[in-house]
Amino acid sequence: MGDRIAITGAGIISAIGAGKEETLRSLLACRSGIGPLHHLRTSHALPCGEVSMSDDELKSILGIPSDKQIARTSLLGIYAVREALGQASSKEQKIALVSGTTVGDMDVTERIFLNVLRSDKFNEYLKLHTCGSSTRDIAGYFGIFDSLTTTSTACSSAANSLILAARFIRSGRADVVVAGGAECLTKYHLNGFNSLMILDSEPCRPFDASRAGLNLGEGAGFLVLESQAHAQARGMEPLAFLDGYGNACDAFHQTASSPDGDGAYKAMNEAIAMAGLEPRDIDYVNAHGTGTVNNDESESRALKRTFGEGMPPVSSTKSFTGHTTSASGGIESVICLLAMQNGFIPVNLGWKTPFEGGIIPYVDTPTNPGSGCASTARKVQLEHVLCNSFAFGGNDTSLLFSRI
Amino acid sequence: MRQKAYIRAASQISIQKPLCDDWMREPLEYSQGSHHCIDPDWSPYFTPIQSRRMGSLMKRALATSLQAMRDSGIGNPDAIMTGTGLGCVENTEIFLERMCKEGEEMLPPTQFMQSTHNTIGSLVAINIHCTGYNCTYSQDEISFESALLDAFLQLQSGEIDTALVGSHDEITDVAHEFLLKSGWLSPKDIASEGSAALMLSSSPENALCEIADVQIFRTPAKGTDGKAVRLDEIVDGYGAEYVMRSPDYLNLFGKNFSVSGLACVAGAELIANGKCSDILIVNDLGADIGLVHLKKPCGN
Repeated sequence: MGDRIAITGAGIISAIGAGKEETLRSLLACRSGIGPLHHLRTSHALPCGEVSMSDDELKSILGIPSDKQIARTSLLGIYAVREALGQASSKEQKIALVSGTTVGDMDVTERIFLNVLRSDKFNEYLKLHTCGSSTRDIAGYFGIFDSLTTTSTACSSAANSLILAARFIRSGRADVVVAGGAECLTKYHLNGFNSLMILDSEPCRPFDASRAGLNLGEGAGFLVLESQAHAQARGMEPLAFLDGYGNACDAFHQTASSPDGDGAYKAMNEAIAMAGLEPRDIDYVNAHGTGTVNNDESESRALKRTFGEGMPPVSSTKSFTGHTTSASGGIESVICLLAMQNGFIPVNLGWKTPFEGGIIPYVDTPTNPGSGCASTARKVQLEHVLCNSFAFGGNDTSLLFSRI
Repeated sequence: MRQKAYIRAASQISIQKPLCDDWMREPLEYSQGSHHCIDPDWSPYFTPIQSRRMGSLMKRALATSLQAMRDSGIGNPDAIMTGTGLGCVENTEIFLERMCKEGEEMLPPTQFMQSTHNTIGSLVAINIHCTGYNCTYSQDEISFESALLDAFLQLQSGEIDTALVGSHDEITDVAHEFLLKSGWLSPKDIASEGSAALMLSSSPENALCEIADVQIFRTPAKGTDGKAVRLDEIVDGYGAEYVMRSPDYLNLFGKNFSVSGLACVAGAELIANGKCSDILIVNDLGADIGLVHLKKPCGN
């Protein structure tokens, strides 16, 4: 496997908190961030996992002038990258930024769309709003990146950016890579998912028999990655290692997963094999678990095929954050790190009843202690965890993190 | 020991003659304005029913991919990497315009379902039943180089032996207007669209050329000592026989976010036809630079 990929910094912002500390407190207190929208202007009254801060509040914290036009995706990304870089205290390296996004700057585009078409002038204030421009805005804030790129595989974008980061490090293309993803809520994809009739009007219930869809969320999650040797040389203690990853295409349908979860199965098994481990070595799986009928059925099948009788605890933290789409792989990777470092298993909120063929996710009960919110909570040792991100187009990715 | 990377087949649909080798003999000339691709006869690639279900971008992406696969003799690639600057603009626009003009009720899902950037790469995967690695990059001007770099590094490390790399963008009236108003296009530019597909292999057999290097970096670039390095110094460092700069290929293919992919097809053909043995394609359209270094394969 060569030199291991060490994680030396992590940053996160989502509906359950700005930064790792707030996120950890919410996870341990079983406090979901899903609720009514306050910032996104839409006619739909759908519960979402919205970040509590407004654009102006984020700009003020980040020291960005309030009149600067910048997409919310970039603001969320900057917040998380800033926290990750602060922890990794990385300076004077060959450093790259890889960000995953799909919505990108769509929040700006959908606000100005009709006005741009109506005006007939060149507009010096209008810049291009693309996926790439959101990554450039994040990089521009820090001014330290030698190279950057954007992965855009819908809901597995951030997970795929972490794979590319590992590849950049192994090949010597970069000493340090900041990788993850950012995505804000927009009317565009809220309406898109709504038109597909996969949004639940109630808080989502991943893996429950009554599940009726997902709740959209927003946020950003980024990791700082470097080789173990590089981290050692500059005296950094790794938080964890990215020891394995798998990326496979379901090649089944543009928006639906195959009944047997072929892509998901392949991605998980590749990740486990790459780390030189067996399924029984996995202590926890942070599932993709969107709460749609189709995903949870297909993912359950893939999990059962992978783990058989030895199913580790599985939970979907989308019951806390909502489905943060392209950012989910980054946000959930940071959640996995928090779980490993603090010795607890995040619970799967909203689950009551199993469905036929479905896995039974990790919930908080007195007979099943381990999560922080059980009164009988005990510390659990998590050595190896899997983090799943699946997407439209069957772009399925699984990441494997090891504590030591 | 690092494996090498070769281009086994390359195909394009652009404002030049599509899906053939002889477009370069008498290239078509264009002037300012927005230009659509010259689309080929689709019947060798899909049925009329399939054709009706796909937008232009999808048809071009799939046809160039299938042609590159056929020409290469490689059945199913180990991986698919796709670069696109704007993705499925037409579908995005239809959904967006409807939402902005008619409100948030009664929106049909069809266009949204096919509006994410990875629609292209997954459509190809679904059609050729490729369950291998699949990733899409969208970094404005250097989307293609990002996808190619991913493939290049995986070929070098031996993770894969073959890869299908695509570069696909489309232009619409609305996108043209946005690109003009934001200043990315000037009224004098030849605005265009295009699709390129490359079949890469770690084996030199029947290769058009070798990919000697792929780079993406921000400008101003800094050297190993941390001091600023000019782009020209980096370009000169390659000592390439022919340096293909953006004006060279913008004249042929027009300006779009996937044009460097088309330039790479042209570069591979120039080497394969013995016109040149060492080409550096410089993508300097934006502040992020892409470099692709192509060489005549050793021993051929």
